[in-house]
Amino acid sequence: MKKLVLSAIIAASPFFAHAAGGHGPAGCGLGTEVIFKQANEWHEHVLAATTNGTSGNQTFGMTSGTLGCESANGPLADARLFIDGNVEQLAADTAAGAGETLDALAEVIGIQQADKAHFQAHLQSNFSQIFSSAEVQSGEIYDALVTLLKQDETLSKYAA
Amino acid sequence: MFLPLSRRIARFLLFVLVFLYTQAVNCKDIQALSQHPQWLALLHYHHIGLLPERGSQIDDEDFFLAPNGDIDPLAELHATIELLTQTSADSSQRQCRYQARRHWLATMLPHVSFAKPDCPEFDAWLKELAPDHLVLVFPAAYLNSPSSMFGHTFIRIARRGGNNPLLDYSVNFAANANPAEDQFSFAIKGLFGGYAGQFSVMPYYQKTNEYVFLESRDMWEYNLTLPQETVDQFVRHIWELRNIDFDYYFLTENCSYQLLTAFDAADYRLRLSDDFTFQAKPVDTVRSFVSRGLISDIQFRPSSLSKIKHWQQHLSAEEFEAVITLTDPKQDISSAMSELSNERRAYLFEYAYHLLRYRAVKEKKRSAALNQRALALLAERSKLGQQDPLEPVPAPSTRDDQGHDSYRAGLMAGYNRSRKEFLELSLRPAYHDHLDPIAGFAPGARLEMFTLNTRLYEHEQLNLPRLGFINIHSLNPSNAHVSAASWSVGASVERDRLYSGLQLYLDGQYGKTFETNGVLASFLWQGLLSGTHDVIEKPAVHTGPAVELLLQTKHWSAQYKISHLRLIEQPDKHHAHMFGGIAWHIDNNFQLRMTHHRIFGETYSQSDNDLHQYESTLGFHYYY
Repeated sequence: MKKLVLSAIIAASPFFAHAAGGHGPAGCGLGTEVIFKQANEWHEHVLAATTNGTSGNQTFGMTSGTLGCESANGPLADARLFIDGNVEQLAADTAAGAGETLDALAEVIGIQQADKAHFQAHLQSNFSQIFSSAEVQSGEIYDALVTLLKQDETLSKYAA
Repeated sequence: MFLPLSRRIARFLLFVLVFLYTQAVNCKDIQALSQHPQWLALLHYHHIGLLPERGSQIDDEDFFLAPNGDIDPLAELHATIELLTQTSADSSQRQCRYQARRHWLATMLPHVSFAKPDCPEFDAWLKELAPDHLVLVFPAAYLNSPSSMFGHTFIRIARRGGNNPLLDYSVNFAANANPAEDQFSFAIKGLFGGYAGQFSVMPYYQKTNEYVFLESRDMWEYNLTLPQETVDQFVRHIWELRNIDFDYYFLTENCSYQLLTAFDAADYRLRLSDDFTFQAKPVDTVRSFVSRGLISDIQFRPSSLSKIKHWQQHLSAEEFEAVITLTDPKQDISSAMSELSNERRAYLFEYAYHLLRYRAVKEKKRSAALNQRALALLAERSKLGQQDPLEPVPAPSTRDDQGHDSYRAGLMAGYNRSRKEFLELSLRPAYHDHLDPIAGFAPGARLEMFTLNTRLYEHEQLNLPRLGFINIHSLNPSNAHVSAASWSVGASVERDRLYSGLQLYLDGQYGKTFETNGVLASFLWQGLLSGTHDVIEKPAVHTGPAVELLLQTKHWSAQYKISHLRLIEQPDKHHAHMFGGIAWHIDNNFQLRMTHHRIFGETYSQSDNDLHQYESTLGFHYYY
């Protein structure tokens, strides 16, 4: 079931062929597919007009511990979850070295204000190491991030 | 293990005391308390729509403690007090569900000793949400989806001490439909309450990803100025509603309406759901918050398409061409950018990336070449260091909730060729056409449902010339960067349009729109299916080209359309249809409108050779 839920989400992700998936916290905290995500066809519009923002979802925002995400552990478990749900936005922000999603990741990791600019620049200058191919999975992105933090003198404390 | 006798006696006495006490309270206050509007709101005793309904709108026995709790608030109150005063460990699980009821009853009945169960699950959940204040979120209509005009609302719970909304949680009410189900039964079931709706709580970034990136919908975020006590009680009540089913009705008990009832449950004095007696359109629910002065400040979160359209305005002609090269996987990335500054290069890389991604979502395309190209653009961008090349997108001057009101009534005077003068009264429950005031609406978008026109001719009875079931137009301007189809669908019953008598007409168009100097010019191919044809004695299909010009400004709008359709069975039978209209928006909710229709060509009946009708109208539209 988790697999199914996750594949529905990935199918909507146009950039990374298999964002998330495979290993890692597959699907925890994430919802079921949303109907009428992209109402392109005319009949979808007619239905969307009459069905009014209807989308199925049963999540209740339970913390990762209570949602059955046993695999989401390690030093930055929350970061792992966050990356899983934001692969594309994170790629764009990392390339630009700034942005709301990158800020959120910094907050999840607990980067202090003094280290934030360095964190952003460090990730940006190692963009291709983190986002190594269009098929990269969120687990690999997470691993690359942890490695990068550990390698850096200032940032290694966050990956301990 | 046996407890010492004295402890057991003490326990028993305590139980008797509590029992007697609650019984005493029952006699005095409980009857009145069960009719307290706050208690009724906590149980969701509301009514909306035409169907008779009594008691609670919650259709789930798990929510009620008394067997008839959904229609008997007194029985439910007795059962609730009984549960919440139990001290046994095995009742604490059930007590933990009713956080909001317990909180309210504890303030109303200070002398009753309610149990204080251990609720680790609720405590962990509340700690994760850390509610500070609530934000009403309204995803605006998206440019190329008129149906989204109907809208949706949900809540963001802003965390204490949080400064990034993406890490907040959202509260969303939606139907729990089976995604595998076919879409038509989905629509039918939705209209007649075949689905269960539930509240869900999920990270806010899931909602922004859904709306901003996948649907390309701008989002409005309204900070609500509610007392902390109301915020906390709202969150407690949402917990009570976990896994609880409501019957979901698209037009009445829908996503936006049930949010309002949850607010009323938190504090009945808000009386937000009272604004809606017949149907609840999400934009109108936003207006309910605005009109009560519950909004302190408003943020705008632009969609990918709004960003692209804004950034596009800051490209030179050469840069516009360079982006076409950048987004083409077959061309060399570096060749396009030789003579630009690093800042402009960063701008183009980021813009081109957003463009590629928008296209991929729009076309549901998952080509490996496009994905690699998108990644290559970002990799190039990352080499240019920290720059901030893309300026923020300004919020539109008129918000969606500040547009004209949803209902429209019209009074027009007119004349036509065959029957001379008439008075026409029109009523439209939803929503917007091309000549209605554009402020707060998307250009080129039209969505009308159940439009009724009635006419009075001199010395005749009232006559029904037209009942429009649905009419959706989406005229999206295309250019070399953003390409979108324009289309329309319509279904109506009309009198004497092409054939005599009342006939069903189904209409569809498909084509492209271009924008120049604020005018939308659409080139479309039209198909028109009419009810049974006089001569061929079966439904007739007509098809042909159509051109539409549209100018929508703050104070007035103008529209001109011409089409030329042939009968497929008999191509020598054809007709041209012209429509011109101009409207002056006297204010946001009042309009003077003039229209002219003309149809001429070969008649479709045998009795007459020439088809020639015309009709002009002049009158007012009022939005309410």
